[in-house]
Amino acid sequence: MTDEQATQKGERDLLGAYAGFVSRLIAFVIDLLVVTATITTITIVGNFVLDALDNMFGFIPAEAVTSWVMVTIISIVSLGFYLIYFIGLWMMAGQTLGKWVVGVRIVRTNGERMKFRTAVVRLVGYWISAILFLGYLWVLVDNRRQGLHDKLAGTFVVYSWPEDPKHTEILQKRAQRFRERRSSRSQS
Amino acid sequence: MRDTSETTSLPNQADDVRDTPMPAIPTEAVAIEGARQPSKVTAIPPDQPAALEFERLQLVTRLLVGFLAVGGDELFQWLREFQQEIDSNPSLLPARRQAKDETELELLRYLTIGLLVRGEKAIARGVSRGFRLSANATGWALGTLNRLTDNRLARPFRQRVERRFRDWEQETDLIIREGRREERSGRWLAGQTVNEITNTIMDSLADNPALDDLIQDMIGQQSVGLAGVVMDNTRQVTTTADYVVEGVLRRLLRRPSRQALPPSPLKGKPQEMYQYEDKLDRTVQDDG
Repeated sequence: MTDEQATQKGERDLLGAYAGFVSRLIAFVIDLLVVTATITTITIVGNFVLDALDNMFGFIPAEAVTSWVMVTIISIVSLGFYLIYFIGLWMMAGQTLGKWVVGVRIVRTNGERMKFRTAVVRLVGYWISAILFLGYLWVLVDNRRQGLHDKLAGTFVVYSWPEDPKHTEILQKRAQRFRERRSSRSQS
Repeated sequence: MRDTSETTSLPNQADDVRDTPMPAIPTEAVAIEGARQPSKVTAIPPDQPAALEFERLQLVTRLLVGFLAVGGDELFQWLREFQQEIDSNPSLLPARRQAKDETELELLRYLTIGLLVRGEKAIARGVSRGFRLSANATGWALGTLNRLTDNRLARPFRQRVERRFRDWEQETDLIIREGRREERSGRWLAGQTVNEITNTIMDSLADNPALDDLIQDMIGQQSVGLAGVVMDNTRQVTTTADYVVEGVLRRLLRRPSRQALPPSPLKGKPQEMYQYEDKLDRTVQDDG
């Protein structure tokens, strides 16, 4: 039985299989939302804190200096969050929040966990892959479903969850109930 | 929503009225002793369309009165709570702008608001004083009139005036009682209407197959939890989409299908390289 046939029958064994484009795209979108929301929050809070400090102590004399200080601090904190979010989480768990939601994980081609160097290369690879999105689209045609950043860092992405037989059973029951209801309606 | 038990337990209300579904109104049940029976919503023969229309109008009016009374109470309660919250924690209010940044238009607006608030207080004081003065003046005038007319000559006229006053007083009393009764009926009606609408919505939701499925699933798999179900569903959908999209694209590009490719070396194996606890346990055991 092929993977596709198995998928249609709901009998696939996903754990450890190469993760596909759609899952990874959705994971990336979730990560993007998380990072954007956090950086926006940091900016708002930073603005508020600096304003409060300025009002309380008046230690930031000029408007231009306030802007400069604010931009620098917020940029540093945002960049720190960005690096910790991706590099830190990749190293610790092999997955970010988005990847956890869709159930995929990054591993090195030699089967080991991500190291700092690998994570940094992969993050830089993200930006290279973003050129015309070709690096990301490569996942669709690659035999191991690797993007350009995966190839650069020597990693691949696999499913981290086994399909829950209980869930499949529930889906089947639901489909059965739907069929019964439809047939009873058509008869009436 | 205000609890309707208060209105359904009116002292003069009959039990059968409470149990009657909408639009039965406890009109007769709250009849006032000694007062002329006000407009009743009684059974009207269907061959009287004008009366039927009037009955509808009366019911709608009563319902509106009920909604206004109940809604007004609720709104007032909320406003009072918000005000108390603000009084106890003034920092909830938006930060005040610097005086130097305010435009003339804003200053004018503040002046108007200040005058309005001050005017309100002045009007309230004025009305109170006016009532007091009016009561004093009326008392003095009535006393004087009483002394002037308390003689044989003016007595017939005085009696007629007194009778008219008594009639007015009775009529006013009746109107007040009717208004009071209407408000109670309206409150009861509004409460029952809201209950009925809520029940209808709940019934229609319960009849909804999709919701029924969801509840069945939740009951059937309490250990999984709703979040788990949602996440599993997401994963199922995205995984299926992975295979479908890739399958189509590979066919278009005439590339070999996935089953012809070597599987992942990690297929079927848990990713233990990220399990800290196991490693820690092993380290501890090794050390021991």
